[in-house]
Amino acid sequence: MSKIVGGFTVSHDPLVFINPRKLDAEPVKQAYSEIQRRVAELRASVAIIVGADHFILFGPRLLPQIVICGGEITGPVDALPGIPNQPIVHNENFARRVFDHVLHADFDLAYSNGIGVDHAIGIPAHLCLPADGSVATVPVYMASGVEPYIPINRAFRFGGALKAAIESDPGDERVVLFGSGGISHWVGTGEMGKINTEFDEFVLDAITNGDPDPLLALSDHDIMTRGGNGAMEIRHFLAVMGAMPNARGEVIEYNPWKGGVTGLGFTHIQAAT
Amino acid sequence: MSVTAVMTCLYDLSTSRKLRSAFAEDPQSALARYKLDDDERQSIINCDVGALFEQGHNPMLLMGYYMILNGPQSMPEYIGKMPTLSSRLEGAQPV
Repeated sequence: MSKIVGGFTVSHDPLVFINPRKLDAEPVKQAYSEIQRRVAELRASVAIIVGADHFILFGPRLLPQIVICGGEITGPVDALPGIPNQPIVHNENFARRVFDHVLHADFDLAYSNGIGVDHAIGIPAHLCLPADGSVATVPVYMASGVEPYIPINRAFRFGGALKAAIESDPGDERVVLFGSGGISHWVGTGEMGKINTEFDEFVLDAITNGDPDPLLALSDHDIMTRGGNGAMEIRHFLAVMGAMPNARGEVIEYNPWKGGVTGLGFTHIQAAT
Repeated sequence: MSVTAVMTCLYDLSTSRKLRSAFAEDPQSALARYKLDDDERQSIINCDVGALFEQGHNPMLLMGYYMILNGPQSMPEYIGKMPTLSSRLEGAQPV
């Protein structure tokens, strides 16, 4: 049977790669490398990466709440220096089995037979997974960037449905889960560039303590006030936490990097052995 | 106010090279297919992202539209034009 062998939360600020202020981004890039090392050490075969669309893939004519992509993947479609837009290894059979299981658990999902992913999925897929293509990516897009937002409790419960799907999967996949996004950032508003380190630490504490309750207690208004509209992406962390109940984690790197616009946080959530 | 038409128009300008090209040539004609009122049309033509934000539009969408029309170097100018998110949240009912 397939099983979850680890969880990670990662930031995906494009400015780390564009680096307009020409500041040292190495500590942040090292965090991606460290996660890549750990994913290899876990002998993972599949990574389910939960991210948000940034009004790049889905337009106002169709705004899905959750999308699972089983088909071919390319990306990132948004230009990022050093990260070419190229095919990403996928695993259609596994992704479809997960989709079917979650659908029958009464989560109405959208399914994609092929997608060009943006930086939310593309950065972790390229930088956190072994370069030899041994770990396939299953992208999950969640409505965390564009209204109507997925309710935060539903994002968490989706994680529980993912867990059940993985653990009942007849394959032999070793699955790592990624929550891609955050932490505090104000995207496209007058505050852009502001980082709230107190909020970031609050979120990281909840992740490392394996305690979703402080995050689930936040209203969207609270999240936006304290962490900006970009912090709505903590839903992705909650999806991973929902799939790994009571699992504790460690911070690999936290950096309110002045070259970007985000509190950059990277954690590893340990799977129960 | 036609929220959907504005959003769709901004998204299309962000993603369609063909529309951007038509918009650069003759903005009024390029936008004729969208059901916009006069103020909305003028805000889009003038890249008045502050006014569009005040109408409730997603700042991520506004940023993408502004950047693609004005180039990445226009980011400081864009931020200077944008109201704060906290100004939108003030008085809003918590959800």
